[in-house]
Amino acid sequence: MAGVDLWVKPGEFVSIMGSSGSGKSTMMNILGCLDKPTRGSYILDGIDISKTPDKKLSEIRNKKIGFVFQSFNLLPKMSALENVELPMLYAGVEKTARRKRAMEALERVGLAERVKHKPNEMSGGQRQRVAIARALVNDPAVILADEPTGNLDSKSTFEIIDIFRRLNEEGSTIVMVTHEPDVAAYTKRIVTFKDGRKISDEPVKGGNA
Amino acid sequence: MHLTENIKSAFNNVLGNKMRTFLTMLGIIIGIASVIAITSIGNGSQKQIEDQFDDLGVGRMTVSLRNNSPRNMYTSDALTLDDYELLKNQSGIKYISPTYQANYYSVKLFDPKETNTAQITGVGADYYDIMAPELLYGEYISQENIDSKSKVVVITDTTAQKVFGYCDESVVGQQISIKSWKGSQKYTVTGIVKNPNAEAEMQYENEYPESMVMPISTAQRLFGQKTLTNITLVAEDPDNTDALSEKIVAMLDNFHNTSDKYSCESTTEQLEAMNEVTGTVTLLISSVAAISLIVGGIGVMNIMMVTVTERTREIGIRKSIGAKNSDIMFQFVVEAIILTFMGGILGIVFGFIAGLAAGKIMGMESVVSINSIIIAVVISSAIGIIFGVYPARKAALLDPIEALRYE
Repeated sequence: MAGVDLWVKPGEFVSIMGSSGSGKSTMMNILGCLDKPTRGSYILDGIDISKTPDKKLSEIRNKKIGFVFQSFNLLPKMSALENVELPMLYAGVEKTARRKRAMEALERVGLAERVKHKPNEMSGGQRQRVAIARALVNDPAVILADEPTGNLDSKSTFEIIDIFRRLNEEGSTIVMVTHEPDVAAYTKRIVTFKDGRKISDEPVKGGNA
Repeated sequence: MHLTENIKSAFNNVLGNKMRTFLTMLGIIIGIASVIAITSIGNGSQKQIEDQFDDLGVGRMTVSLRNNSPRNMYTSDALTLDDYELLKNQSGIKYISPTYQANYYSVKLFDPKETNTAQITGVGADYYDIMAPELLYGEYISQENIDSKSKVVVITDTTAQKVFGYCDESVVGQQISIKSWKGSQKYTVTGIVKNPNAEAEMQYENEYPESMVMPISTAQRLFGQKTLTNITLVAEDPDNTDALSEKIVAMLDNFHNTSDKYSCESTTEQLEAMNEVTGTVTLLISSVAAISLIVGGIGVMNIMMVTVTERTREIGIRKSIGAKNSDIMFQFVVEAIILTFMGGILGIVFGFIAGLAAGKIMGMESVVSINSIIIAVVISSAIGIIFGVYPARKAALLDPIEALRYE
């Protein structure tokens, strides 16, 4: 990956597209502070991540970034509520505040009724909604979604996209990797990668749906 | 991450796979259990020794001829009643009694076909105050008995039971036959004391001799001896027996015109010597048992390595949502400690039971000290830390991207 110049402003809803091997995963790892660029810089919310020591990165992942993965990545032995509480546990939030905020996050994704369920007692769409609640619970600067609808049927896909759009309207910044053009069409801006380079970056016209 | 949350989640993980957890803990359980069992038996035998010495009283001292090589021994060196008379009037001595002991006599039992060896001790009038036995019936040996060389004997309740078939007040005044190479002689029972070792002796039937006490003068006549086995005394100041001991040894050497031929040991010294031996033996066997703790620790490390590999993805997830390396490290160390801590607790329980059972079989007391429990808990937790750190560190240093990709 080389010579990529990408600006995402607060409140944007960006999708990153590209075939496999195009560099979009590397991009996501760098955006998610899981990896550092070998050259160049990455500024997140005013912090130069490329110059931040590794020890600080976990704190930045915790407070500034919310991950949503294709395979949900929930902890199977924990209930929905406990999964959503986990980022706050690492942030050192007190128990009562933790519970309250986790409940609020689950309400925002429409899962207030299923907080005690474990991941294997839920549908794929519901699991992904738990993951979204977990991603937004620490009020991050950006939500990074890596193929969030890749494992879902079309009905659940629509529900998830709808949640993202609503969160975006409420002010969340969202960057989403996808290879489905229909899904990308719901976002406000599409960035396309090929062979490690950015080949297009344009706003979505008209605003679908 | 909060400690309580961490412990809670560690418990959930450890209890999530009960069979594996139990097998992992087994090494620790066996190690801790054997150490606890062995130390409890060791403590028990130490306590038994101490109790026996307690019965004998504080500040009791025994004067005897040193076991030098026979070449240097002269009949004039032997302790006699003259030595007793010499020491009797010294200051610093509360009670003093000469003793003569012999084991090769036998006593006729109730069953006319049976006899048992008699351990006869000839004593002075102070002996009762020195030994402080529990007198059940009759009287102890008096100065009058000694002066008149009366053929009286004080027996224990267990001997009474075996010789007369019963033990009550009416035994006092009856006669008992003691057989020597000179033939059988009859002695009148003047008193009955409680046998402090009755319980232990019960288990071995007639292997223990019947111990009995008679006036020193009578014993010397019976055995045809003028010598003494030793002289027993009680110091007025039990905390300062060393000076008295030196004085007595010097006096005897002077009296016999010898040097360094006599010893005067206090019970506390003997107790310390015996406790040291038991302590060393216990420590030695415990350390052999403790080796199994190391093996158990390696088992814990092995399973923790497997756990870390199995939960690579979980580690990736936790890291992606903001867990620090130290959080991950702490989580796995706590799990290892919980494994070994629970193993330690179960080991204490099993060790306690095994100690009791072994004690019953060997006829020994089993005493679990608070110290050995605390040490067991500390050691098992320490094993968790020592053998848990390496796998936990491995987990903490996993690359989150790789870990998230792990299937």
